[in-house]
Amino acid sequence: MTCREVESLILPYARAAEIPPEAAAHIAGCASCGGLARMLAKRDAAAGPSPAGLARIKAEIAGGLKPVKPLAPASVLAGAYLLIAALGAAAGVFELGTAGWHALGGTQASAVFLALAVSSVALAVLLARQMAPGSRVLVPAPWIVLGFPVVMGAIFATLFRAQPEALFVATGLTCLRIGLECALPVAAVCWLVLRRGAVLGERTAGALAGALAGLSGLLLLEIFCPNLNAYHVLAWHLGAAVVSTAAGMAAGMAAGRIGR
Amino acid sequence: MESYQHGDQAAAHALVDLLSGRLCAFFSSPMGSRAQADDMLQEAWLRLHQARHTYRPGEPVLPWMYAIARRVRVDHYRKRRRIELREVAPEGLDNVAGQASPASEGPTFVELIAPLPESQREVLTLLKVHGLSIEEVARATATTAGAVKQKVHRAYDRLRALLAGAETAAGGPS
Repeated sequence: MTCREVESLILPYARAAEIPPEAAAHIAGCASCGGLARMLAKRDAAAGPSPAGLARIKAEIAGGLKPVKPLAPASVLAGAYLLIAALGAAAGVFELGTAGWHALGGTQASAVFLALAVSSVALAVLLARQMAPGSRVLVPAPWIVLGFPVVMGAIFATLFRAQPEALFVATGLTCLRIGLECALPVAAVCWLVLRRGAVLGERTAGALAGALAGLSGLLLLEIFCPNLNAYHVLAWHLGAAVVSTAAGMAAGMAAGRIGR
Repeated sequence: MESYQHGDQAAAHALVDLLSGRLCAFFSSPMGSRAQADDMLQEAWLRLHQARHTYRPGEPVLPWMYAIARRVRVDHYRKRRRIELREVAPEGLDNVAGQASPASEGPTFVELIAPLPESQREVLTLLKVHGLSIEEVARATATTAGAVKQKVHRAYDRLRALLAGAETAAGGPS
């Protein structure tokens, strides 16, 4: 048995007496593992709470004790976030039209909307889990927040043709504005839902809400804008989603500072 | 916990009795005073009470509690740091050695793992002192079980190196 295998065996045990016999045999003969096990078995005598302090806490809790309804299941909350994002994009499409949808080829549309759907579901699930402390984390939030622009960027770069454009900035700024105008109310409503929970990582929650809102803006732009130039889509459509994510993160950090 | 959510006062008091010892141990540190730990305990219960609706019946209670307690501790340290930056500390106020365990008792667990980075120290303490499982530590620290295992293995590597260094120093020429 190697030292690394012993580490894996003793890892889940808090008490020295619980260490499995096969690991104990190795520990007895290995100076390094023996020293480590002795160190981990050491216990500090922690002072308990004072009776007066406990009485004060109980009195405070009793003063504000009312029945509360537990937070809705994560799946319901994730569904609510997806609905908010979809409604945001739908409102924009209702006003601006579907020229982009008709301009997209079959492969382009399938790849773009599938990636948007998967990213949105992942963000909505992570956002819902932010509301309940101690929720299980299957995928770290930064992976999704940083991963979706990379995936979308790869799809745009691969499936869309790049060509120089005369009014690159002028038309681009219009798309950026439309994307952000769609993202802003979606992010605001998501934040209102988030406030129903107990968000401990405001920066992460802000980035997730901003990213989901940004995807809503990106969805609207892909359905509305008929410009399929890869440069335009990468810089301004995806740019709107990235700006929205960064703004959400900044807003979350600011909210965290105010909360403290 | 569910009775507490339903407004049962006896359940709330039982929960305070049951969990305050763990919370107190979590907030105690060799660098902090007893008063600071008491303040954090009170603040933690206030936040736990305000967030009691976010506990989902059937889910483990400890990760939920430690996640909130962890945030209380972080906020407390940030606040203390802000105050310390503005104030000129009187001599000896932060004398950690003055609060350390007597030499006859040997170093405490917290002192032994003090050289580790904060994130490694935190998971090791939750795992080995507070007796949480890897899954519970992952939930409490908002990370994955794999990341917790990686941090613990890195902590073990560091501790082995420290132990080897200490033994070399003790056995070497004085």
